[in-house]
Amino acid sequence: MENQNKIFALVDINNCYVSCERVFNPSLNNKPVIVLSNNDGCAVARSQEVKDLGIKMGVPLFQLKDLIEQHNITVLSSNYALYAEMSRRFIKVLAEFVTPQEQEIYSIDECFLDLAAYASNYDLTAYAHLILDRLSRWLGLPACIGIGRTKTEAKLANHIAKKNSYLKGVCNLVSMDYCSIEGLYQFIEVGEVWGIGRKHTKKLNSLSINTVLDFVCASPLMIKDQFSIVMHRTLLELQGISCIEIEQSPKAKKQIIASRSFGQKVYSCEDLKEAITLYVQDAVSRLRSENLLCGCIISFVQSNPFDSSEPFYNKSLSYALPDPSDNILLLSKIATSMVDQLYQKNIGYKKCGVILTCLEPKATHIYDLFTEMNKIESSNKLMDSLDDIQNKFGKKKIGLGASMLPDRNWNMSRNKLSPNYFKWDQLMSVK
Amino acid sequence: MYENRKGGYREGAGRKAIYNEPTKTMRVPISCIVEIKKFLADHKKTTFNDIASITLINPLTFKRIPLALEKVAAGFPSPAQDYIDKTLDMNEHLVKNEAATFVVKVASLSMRDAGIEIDDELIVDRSLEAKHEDIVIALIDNDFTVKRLMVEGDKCWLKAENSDYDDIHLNDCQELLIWGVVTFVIKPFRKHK
Repeated sequence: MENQNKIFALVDINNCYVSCERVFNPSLNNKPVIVLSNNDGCAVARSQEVKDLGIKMGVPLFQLKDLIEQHNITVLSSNYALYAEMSRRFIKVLAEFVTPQEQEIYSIDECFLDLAAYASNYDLTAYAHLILDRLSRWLGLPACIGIGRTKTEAKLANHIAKKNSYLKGVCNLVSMDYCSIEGLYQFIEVGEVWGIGRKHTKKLNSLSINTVLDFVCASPLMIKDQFSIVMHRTLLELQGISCIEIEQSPKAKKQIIASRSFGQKVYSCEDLKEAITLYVQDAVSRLRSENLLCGCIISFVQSNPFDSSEPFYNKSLSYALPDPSDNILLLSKIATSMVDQLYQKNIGYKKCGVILTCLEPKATHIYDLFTEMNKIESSNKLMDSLDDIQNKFGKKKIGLGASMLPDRNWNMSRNKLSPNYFKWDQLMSVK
Repeated sequence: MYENRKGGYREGAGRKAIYNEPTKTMRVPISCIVEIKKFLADHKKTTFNDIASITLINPLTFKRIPLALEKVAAGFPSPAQDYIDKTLDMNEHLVKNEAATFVVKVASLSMRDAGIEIDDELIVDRSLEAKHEDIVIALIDNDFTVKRLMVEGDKCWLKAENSDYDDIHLNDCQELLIWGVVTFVIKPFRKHK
């Protein structure tokens, strides 16, 4: 193995959605706050105060009613337009500290930075504090930074920074002495390591590997034997051998899912068709933005899994297209005719959606001898015009069927939505 | 008698015309030949067919207003044309640091004498360090307020620019947090649209 001098940092916004809300609504500071998933279903973001109450991620809202009243918890609908704009600014602020090749956008609130080039000129812990200071001043967002020799180590360091307030947001495992690292690792459960899920944790525990320290001391050969090459890689990463690089462009998508639950139960086939038409349009617009064609479409409908008064109904169908396509008319026709087959009377549907899969790049697709190329060409022209119209006049100005009209039976409910402070008619107000 | 078939005019023979119009021979000084040839070459009239294709121009999504750096005398065909070299971009003018800039709306008259009224929009830059006499968005007891920041030694207070409103002096248990510095006011002068 060549001598590596790699250093990675992971920057992660603390309780991202809650922190974004607090920037514009400081009365939420130091108070327990929960942000709900689509349709106000379950808790997807929790403030530290809520975490301290023992409320877990993903708990449905109706199970929290008592706690919410008891502790006076503020509950908000998710305001993705707001979080996306704050995330864009977060990424932009970080981009001023590294070159574009050294930054990987990992999720809406996480960024990997390759800091190897800065190690000789900067004290990296101080550099990280500089980054945190700027995020806090410019955007009002609190964050933590973990620094390690590998991405897995940086991720773990970030976890340590979050859990130990004395570190003031920065945990630099590269400069930390081995004794302190051991001291930290022996109190972290192995399941906290990036890439180790619940099933693997169980199996590791059965091998009496319970903490991160146990895992780091395990034999790579044994792990490779017992688990997989992926797990082996995770172990090597924690032992300081970098196996995962900064990724520039996200990998080509394998599938595109568009699905949302409804604001209320939906009983009619027509409503289901309207909803699925909208999701097909969402999915196809993502498909086309990546210049892909779809070879297979899957539609599904389901009732509410949390409703114990009715049996759970969940059914899906797939259809392989003879020719891969990105034509919105064709795909929505297929999806709606699938709904006809999926539909059964007297069921309260809570969700439906489509999955586009068998994706391939449009540029490299070779049509067969019998393809009518003039039809493909006219389909392309139609789709391009549709895109142009939507780009110019907005996404909701043209659409298939009734799917884009307001106030449909199946629309999402977001009863506790905060304003989007980046719209002219919803600006933050000051006295 | 045999007809003389040699010499004379033949269809299609001779040098081809380069100009699509009658030409005339003339004497020119030798020293100017190069320049004149070049002139003629450059000024060959392009016929319509020479334009290979006409492409559609993409309409811009934003408006640029030409900024004339010279005063233009009315009625005189713009001698200032050569001086138009910059366009007005409001974003560039009003927003120095895009990532740290926010817009907020005013909901009180406490800064009326500084020209800030209800429903005016304030451009706020969070990256600037607040200095003495800056107009700032401050956070006091988790409430937003717009006031003028007064720094006296190591003490700070907030000044209202309207005699009907009280200045804000902090008591010991209150903390002053500067949310951002106001850089511009957007004030609509036509209240009735």
